[in-house]
Amino acid sequence: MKCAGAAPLLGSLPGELDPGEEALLGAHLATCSACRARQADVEALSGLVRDGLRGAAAKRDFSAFSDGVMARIPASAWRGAPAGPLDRFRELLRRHRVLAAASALVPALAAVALYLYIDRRGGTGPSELSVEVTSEDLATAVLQTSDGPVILVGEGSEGT
Amino acid sequence: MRSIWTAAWVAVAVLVCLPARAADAPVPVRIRVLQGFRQGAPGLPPGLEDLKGQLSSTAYVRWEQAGEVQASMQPGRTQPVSLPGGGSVSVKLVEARQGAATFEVSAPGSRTQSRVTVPPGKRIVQQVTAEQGGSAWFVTIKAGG
Repeated sequence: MKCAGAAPLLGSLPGELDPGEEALLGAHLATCSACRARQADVEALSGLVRDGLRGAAAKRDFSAFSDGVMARIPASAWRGAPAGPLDRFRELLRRHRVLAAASALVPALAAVALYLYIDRRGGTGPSELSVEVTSEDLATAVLQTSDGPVILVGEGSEGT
Repeated sequence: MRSIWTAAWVAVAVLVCLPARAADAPVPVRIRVLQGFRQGAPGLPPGLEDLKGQLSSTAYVRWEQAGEVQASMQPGRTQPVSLPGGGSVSVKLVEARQGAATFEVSAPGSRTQSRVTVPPGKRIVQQVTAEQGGSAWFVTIKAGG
């Protein structure tokens, strides 16, 4: 291989050349100091360009890049996209409005029924007779009759 | 769909509020002031026959009605009742639920206070003064008139 044939191959990245080209280029560089110097220049230039591009890229803030791209996609473009579970649920509610209202009413009515049931059971207290009597200096007595309680006070030194 | 949801929740709110409104409804209360005597011809005057079951269980044999108050009471309201002897009694309707009523009776004359819950149709008979000269004052309280 001569210098004219080796020149296009200088600066190749690893893996770009096939094994035959790599062998020929290696043999030429071993014997040609001028091409070795060009090879070194190309590699140095490539390194500078690479480092410069990385530095320029590092100065840019790409954190909002994806959000910006997504925001520029029109909503109509998503029409064909598969709907999520929440979207499917909303669509279900929209199609079955009566069913949706009933599904909201049933647990609410169940809660009301439970409230009334508890209130009624709690009402067994008031529906039963309950008597509390206190007296500062008289004795008290409670007579239970079928018509209701009779509360009596009498001579004594204590109340109940 | 929003209107259906709104109607549903309004219906639920009404259902929840109904028992509370019912609990605050006024209750007709009949309060009678009686004087009981140890001595005398046993018997009940006309108008007190409905009290026979309770009054006959006491040691007082003769009865006279001295006054009556009929009030429409809301829970929490206190109804003062004057006694002919100059004293007074306070009757407070604490709560009324499903026909049962809870009363607090404060009788300064006997320094006695009671809190009684009576089922529907039952009546409270309470002695509100200590016995003096063989007689004592009573009040009877019945919810529902």
